[in-house]
Amino acid sequence: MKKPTYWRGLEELEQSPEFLEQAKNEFPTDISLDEALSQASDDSLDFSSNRRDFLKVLGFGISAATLAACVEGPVKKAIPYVNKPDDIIPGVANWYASTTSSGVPVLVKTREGRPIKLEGNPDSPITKGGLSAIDQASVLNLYDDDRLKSPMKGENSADWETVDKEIATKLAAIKANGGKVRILSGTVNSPSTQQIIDDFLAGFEDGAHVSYDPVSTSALNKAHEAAFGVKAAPSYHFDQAEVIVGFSCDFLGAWLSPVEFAADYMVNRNPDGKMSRHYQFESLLTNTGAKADLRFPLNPSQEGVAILNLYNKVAAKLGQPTIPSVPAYSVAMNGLDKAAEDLVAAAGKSLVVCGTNNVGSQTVVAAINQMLNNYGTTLDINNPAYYQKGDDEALQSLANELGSVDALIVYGANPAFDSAFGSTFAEKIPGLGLSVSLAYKGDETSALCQYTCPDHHYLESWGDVQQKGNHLSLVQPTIHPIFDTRQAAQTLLKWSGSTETYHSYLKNYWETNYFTQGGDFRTFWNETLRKGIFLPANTSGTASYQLADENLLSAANGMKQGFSENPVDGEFDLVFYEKVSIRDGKTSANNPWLQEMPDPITKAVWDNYLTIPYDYHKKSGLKNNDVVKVTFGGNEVYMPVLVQTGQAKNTLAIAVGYGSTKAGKTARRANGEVLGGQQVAGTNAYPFTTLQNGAVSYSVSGAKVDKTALNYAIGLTQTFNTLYDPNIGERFGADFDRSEHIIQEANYEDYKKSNGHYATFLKEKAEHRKHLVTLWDSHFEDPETSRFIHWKMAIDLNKCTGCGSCIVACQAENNVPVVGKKEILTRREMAWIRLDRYYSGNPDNPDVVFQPMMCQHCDNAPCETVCPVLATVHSHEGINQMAYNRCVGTRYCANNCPYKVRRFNWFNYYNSESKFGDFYTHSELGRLVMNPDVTVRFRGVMEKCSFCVQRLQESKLKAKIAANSTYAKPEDGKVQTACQQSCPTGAIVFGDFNDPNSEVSKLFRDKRSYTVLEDVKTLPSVGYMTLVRNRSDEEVEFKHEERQAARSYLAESDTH
Amino acid sequence: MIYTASRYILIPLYLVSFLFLGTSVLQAQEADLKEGETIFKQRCSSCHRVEGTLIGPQLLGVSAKYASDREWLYNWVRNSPALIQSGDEKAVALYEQYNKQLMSPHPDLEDQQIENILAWVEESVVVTKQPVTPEGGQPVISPSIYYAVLGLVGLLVLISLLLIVITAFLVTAVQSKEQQEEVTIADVWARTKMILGNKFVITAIAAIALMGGTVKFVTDARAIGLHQGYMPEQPIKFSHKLHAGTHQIQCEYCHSGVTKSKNAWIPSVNVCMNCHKYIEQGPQYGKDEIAKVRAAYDNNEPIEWVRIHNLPDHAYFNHAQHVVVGGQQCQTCHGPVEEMEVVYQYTTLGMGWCIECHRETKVKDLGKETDFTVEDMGGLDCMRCHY
Repeated sequence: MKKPTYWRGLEELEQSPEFLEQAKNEFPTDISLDEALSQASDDSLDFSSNRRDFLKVLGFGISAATLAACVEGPVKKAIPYVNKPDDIIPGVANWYASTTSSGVPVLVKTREGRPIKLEGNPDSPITKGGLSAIDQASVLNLYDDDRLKSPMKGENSADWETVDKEIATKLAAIKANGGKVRILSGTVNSPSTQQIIDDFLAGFEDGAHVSYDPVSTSALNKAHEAAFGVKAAPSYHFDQAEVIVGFSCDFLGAWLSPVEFAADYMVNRNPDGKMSRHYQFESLLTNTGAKADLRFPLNPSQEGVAILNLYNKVAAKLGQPTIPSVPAYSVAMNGLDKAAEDLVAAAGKSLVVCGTNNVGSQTVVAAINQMLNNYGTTLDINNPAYYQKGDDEALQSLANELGSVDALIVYGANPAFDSAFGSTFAEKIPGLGLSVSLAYKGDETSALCQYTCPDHHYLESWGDVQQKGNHLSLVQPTIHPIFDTRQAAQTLLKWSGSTETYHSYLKNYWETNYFTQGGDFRTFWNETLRKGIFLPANTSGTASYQLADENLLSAANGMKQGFSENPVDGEFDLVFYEKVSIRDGKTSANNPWLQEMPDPITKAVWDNYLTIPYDYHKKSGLKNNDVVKVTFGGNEVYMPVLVQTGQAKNTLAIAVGYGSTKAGKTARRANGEVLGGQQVAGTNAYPFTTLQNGAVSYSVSGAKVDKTALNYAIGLTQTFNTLYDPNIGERFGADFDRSEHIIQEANYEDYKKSNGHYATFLKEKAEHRKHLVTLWDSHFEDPETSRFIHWKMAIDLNKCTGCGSCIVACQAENNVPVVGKKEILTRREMAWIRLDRYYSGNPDNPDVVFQPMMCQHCDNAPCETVCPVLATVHSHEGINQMAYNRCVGTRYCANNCPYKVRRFNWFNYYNSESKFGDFYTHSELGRLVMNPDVTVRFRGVMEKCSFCVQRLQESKLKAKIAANSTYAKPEDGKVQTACQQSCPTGAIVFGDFNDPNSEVSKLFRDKRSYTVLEDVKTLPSVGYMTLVRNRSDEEVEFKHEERQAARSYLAESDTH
Repeated sequence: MIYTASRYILIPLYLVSFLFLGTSVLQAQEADLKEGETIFKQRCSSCHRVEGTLIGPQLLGVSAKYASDREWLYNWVRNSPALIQSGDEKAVALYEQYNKQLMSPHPDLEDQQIENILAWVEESVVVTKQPVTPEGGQPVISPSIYYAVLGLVGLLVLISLLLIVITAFLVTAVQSKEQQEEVTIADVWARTKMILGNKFVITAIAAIALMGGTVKFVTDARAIGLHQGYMPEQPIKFSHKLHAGTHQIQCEYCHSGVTKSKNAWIPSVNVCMNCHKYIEQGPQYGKDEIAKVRAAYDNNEPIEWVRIHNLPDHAYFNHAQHVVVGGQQCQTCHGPVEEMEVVYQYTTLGMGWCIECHRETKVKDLGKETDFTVEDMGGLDCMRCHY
């Protein structure tokens, strides 16, 4: 049988028997309901039954039905407000502009006074309306049961008065003795809060503020301090860049401000307009690497030398002095030479970025950009970015002097858990004279502190954020504080002796610092609050390049350490990385939406694990779920293995953000388990990071791997709901490859030709389409005369970065339940939209395509014809409707769906208590996040994407009311589905296909447009746009040869 | 001389101005009337009725009464307390006449808007005098009628049984006479059993019972979850008949969500207090019931009304859609609320009832009926109401 060109997992590529078996069955048959339920601790739902039970249930059922028919329904109350606030219309959402705790400007949707969903602020140049998954999910943290509910003294709850008094007394004593006071925080990007901190500390003889970031970019700031005298990251303008070279920098997924970068990056990725060229050199496969035109796997210990080589090649081409005695290093296709050539050709419109927290690498990268004249165009150091302001060295000095500190106040940070010096903090905090945590949720550090004075969630807070030199935004409360908490800034203000509220402090601060245009401040304030953002004028041309040559040379020397052209077999570089869904774990670890969001690359949920490169899997025979012992620098960790294609040889990786025992019950569920006396998975990786050359390094070398006899199941969703059908070859001939009917891609050089492969392919396709017929003419109205809307969606595979923001947006909008890892392992995930990640080519360095897949709303829907009760039927607007109350749960529809997008409610995931995990849906508080306009589905019914019909209906109604006509249709672009709204790059376009001028109908007529499995003739309402990679024919040829080589390599290893 | 001369000049002037006023009223655009109606409902209807005194005087005829005194009227509407304070005779007299109740000022109303209100008031008399006919409303079947029917059936059964016994007695009596025997109860009983044991009778009774049972079962089963006629007791004896009927307060005045939201909503207490700040006593229940409203307001405790119209959670219904876009009267679904002392559920609110209306009702475009029914516009799609 032919191997698929595009595959979602090695199982599919290697055609493992387990996979073939699974692909045959729509629903898992190996785990029966009885078995699944008898494993659970609670016996009340035990379904193992016999005839007597059946009769009992039958008898009860009949009598219950009879009784139900006689009894009056329950009395329901309707309780209006006493004084209805003017701006609240029950049943209509209110929107407020605010900013997340990570500094992203958002619009908050509130219903009857409770925030239920976030959307990026479209007025902000940072988000342009998009929002990352992690920020989308932050609304759920507001309703977290694990939040601190009152101030704590030790482990006991206390009241504010007592706590304030005791702390004030202690602070006064410290002040009198001239003691040391330290505030340790995460990045504080609120100017007013920073002012409060500074003022507070100024009251002490020896007061200092230290900030750090768990996953630090302090080297980037430091390098720019050395080069420009500005200790901050520059603002990046990917939209100006025609050539981009990245070194282990996941700027589309998890680096600094991915939403902003992704939107900018996609400006120049239009095959019919401007097409930039992107090289990526990286050790782990990232979303950014997946989107790159040419990607080169590279070991972390080789990266420094690769950057130096690039420097020298660029310098040589520009006739500038090169760095001496750099070991030669080359990658496939002479990638570094090509990159240098393209960079020089696009000098001033190119960009080199590096994500490694190494001062040397960052300095040299800054020097390359300076050489190429990129500062001022693609980089802006005059309006720097303040996303991460942490300083690793300052954290180290604090850790060193911690014993002599009299008072430590920890704000927005958890140093005992997520810093390289965790053990020092854990050891010394209990011995301090005064230790206070201002955390909003219990954590490892606050457990050690004498007092915990809980902060508000940001949705309950006032505040301001400065993201960039020329971008500020405001934070405003959208709900009354749920618990007895107090905003940290207010707390510090109080301890400084002020009686002012933080709200009035903030207003005064803004009046003094930002209100420059004259007029009425109230108007300015209200208008800024309404818009949420404030954009001061750009500053220009103050910072100048000042890096001395000897500094560059010394930076370069440090980068050569540990380099060897050919790494030793069996010795690995171990990388600690951020997952796109969990990032540093600070706000995400206890968030079930994020834990259940499959990682964009590995497609695993609820765990961390050890990713190993494909070649090591072949060599060692290690498979997914095998538990190994990883030994490095005196540490040993037991981890399940996940084979990751595309990962550089001799590299291993473990994600940070896991292993917290104090973050809450959801976080604890993702902490692996103890097997054979060893903690497997869920290990906290932060303690393994070390400070090197003034910055925390997130990789160690010399790691070794030993196989154990243990096995640990990772919740890997990559081949769930596979569109692949192993039997289809029998029907369509041995050469038929269904995967080519799912993904279509082209290369740019060929795409532009009028007689290339792509043009020929299009002609053949057009010819083929003529032979497709339909039996259901009634579903197709003439768009010209139709009085109906026909909703359609176009998804541009070129623009999709696989970031997963759509998944969480859909979950928040549509009340999609969280089911827990155990259910995932039985293939019962519930997400309405899944991001299929396809690989193709050489497994050592595959090409990657992300494909968002949701209900395709087929006009010839196979699901509709098989439903025995007409629970799923077609609407006049082209929507494949699902009437939950009609569904009797035959699941025929899911069996008949070629796209595998229907989800069955096996249980009442919303109230089945501990069966599947104690998630937010099981608490009164957590349920407040649900969208009241969407039904919560019951056990036994099928569900799937509805095209966010509640949003469509709302927009239609608005249009009808505005026009006073039933014929009125919403304006194109005004109707957005949740996934579309959230997409940072605008990859999803939605609208009325019957309107010939709508964006979506234009895209459907575009030559790149295609539908998945077109030959099945389902006529989906979701179309996809062909992926185009900016490769020359020659490079395509090289990739093709690599693929052929990989095929024989695969075949070889299959036989052994 | 001057006086008479001026009169001769002024009379035609008056006439002309009256003509202008008259024509301007005639020419008043629909939109102006609409605006007038909106403002009336929003601001005036809590204290004024078109006809009859509420807190303030009736508004019908005000336009004519102050025809020559427009400026004074405008000033009064915009800020009557100031006018009274200034000692204006007419103003003070009015104030005294209506129990010294101050009329709240409306400084933002423009002359034209006040004219619109007055114009609408005059126009509306024609409209409001028409009886409100609920569209598609059905008479309520009250439970007592049902039991009466049941009792009647029972009575008929008893009578027929009695007739059978009498027949049996007569037949037995005739036979006894012929055979010259005594009539015994045993004989009568045996005869009765014989008649009842007749196969035809058994089949007939069984068939009737079965049919009746089936009909009853099907209708009952279809009515599960439907609560037509549901009339719960409310915490406050609020009379819609008094408010909406006698006083003709517009529905939207209290249920103001009906044009904006999916919920028509029960008014918040502060809306009640707009009037009940002044009105302490009602004609029917005296002071007690109104005291409850005031207590709720003073103690900041919401009133827990019992919800009458309950839709299941999986059904989405939007009032604004039906009232604004569809132009439906409240009475279409809620019945003659203005005649209800205690409100009850007038229609079934079942899906069949919704569908029926969607099949028949023509949709509107710019307020005018079109040729298409709701069904033609996709109004029977599942996902119009279920999502």
